[in-house]
Amino acid sequence: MRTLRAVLLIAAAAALLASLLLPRPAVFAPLALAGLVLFVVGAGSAAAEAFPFRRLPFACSAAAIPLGLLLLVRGPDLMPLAVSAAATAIQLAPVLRR
Amino acid sequence: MEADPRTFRRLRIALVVVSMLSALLVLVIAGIAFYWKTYLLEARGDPFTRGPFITRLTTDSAQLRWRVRDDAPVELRAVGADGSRAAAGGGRFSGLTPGTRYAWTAAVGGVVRASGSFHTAPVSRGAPVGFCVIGDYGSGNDHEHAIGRLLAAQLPDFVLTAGDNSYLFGASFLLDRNIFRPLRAVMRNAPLFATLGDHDLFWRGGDDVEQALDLPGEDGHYAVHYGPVTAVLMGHDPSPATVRWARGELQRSTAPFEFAVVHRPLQSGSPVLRMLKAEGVSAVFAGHLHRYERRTVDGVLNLTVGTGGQGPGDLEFTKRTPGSEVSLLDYGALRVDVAGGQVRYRFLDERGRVLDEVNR
Repeated sequence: MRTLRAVLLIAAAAALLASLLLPRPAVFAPLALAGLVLFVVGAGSAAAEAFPFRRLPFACSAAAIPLGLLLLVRGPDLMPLAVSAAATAIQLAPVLRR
Repeated sequence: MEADPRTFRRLRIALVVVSMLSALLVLVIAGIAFYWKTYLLEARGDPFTRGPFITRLTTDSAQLRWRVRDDAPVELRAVGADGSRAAAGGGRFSGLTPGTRYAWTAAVGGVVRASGSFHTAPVSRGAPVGFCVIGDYGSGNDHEHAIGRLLAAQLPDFVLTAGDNSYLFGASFLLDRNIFRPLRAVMRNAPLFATLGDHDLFWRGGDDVEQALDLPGEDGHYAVHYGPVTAVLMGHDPSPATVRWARGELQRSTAPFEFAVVHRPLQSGSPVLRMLKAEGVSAVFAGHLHRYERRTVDGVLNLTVGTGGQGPGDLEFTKRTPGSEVSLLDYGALRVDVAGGQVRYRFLDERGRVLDEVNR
């Protein structure tokens, strides 16, 4: 499911860019939107990678779900940056592996 | 059996869509739960089951009483209009500045759960004082609640009651409904000094009402001293002993304005009225008759305010008293203001209208 992977990658990269460029509280809205996309699309992507089961893409898709939640709930100043960086790296991994 | 690739692809897409919709549903439910808990749920309930209410007020002290769930510790603090601060031990503030309004708070578990204010008695005999008088109020109905709101808005220094504080009788299990809930707001800001009427005395001689309100005297007989005002509360039907006691209190008092409170209105030729006139009281307040009446009896101003909430009942028994200057069948309370060597009496009905006013 390349489309879903692309959506996840775009959402994670957008969250990373927003964390780097936007001040609080302007950053909250894009982070929440990216978190929502990561959570919902991550669930769909994980389901897609489960049949047939592909270990790395499935793990990367499943990881998007908790990372999306973390972006939604916000937290300390540096947390969105770390979470969005991790999400971008994780979504890049199956693309680079291909 | 080999699955059709198109069917497999459709099933896979269906699984993806269902998964995404499920995730979205989880988020929506979590969002609703969060919003409900954060913004829609009421604050936790009031731990006080009665009060706190003010029972005593002097020039430098104030006493509060209350009932609280689980006997939880209550932390009382007060800040005066002059910036002075006070903490209470056993519900009693001491070391207060005379003639000063204090805002108090009562915290349970570190959260303020009740607040109010009181005005300490002034030392100066020329200081203005305002108080209210009600009678025959303890019915727990809408009219009494209206009178309670009216009194609270008046922010009196204290409230006098002319008896029948609880209907049909003054039993402890009725007092929250009949006294403490309807008058909650005013009792947080001013002490309620009650005398006893026949309905109070009918149950255990009025002991339940006396104890609940922490009255200073037996059977509703005691004196209230507040700056330039002294009031003697004489109960239902003053006995010769009560009259002797009241005379002594009035003779000892140096207050320029003295008042008397009885439950049954006094009639011409009453020895009680003769004594009160000799002692120079400004007015006598009474209840029992569920009317507001202004009368001058044997040269003494008599104000009947049996209008605090209990209805007039059968009009055959709620007749106008012959010779009354004003007689009204309305619910209401009397406001008395002492200032500049004069006393102003105003009868306010339950809608806040001034129906009678007299200056003496």
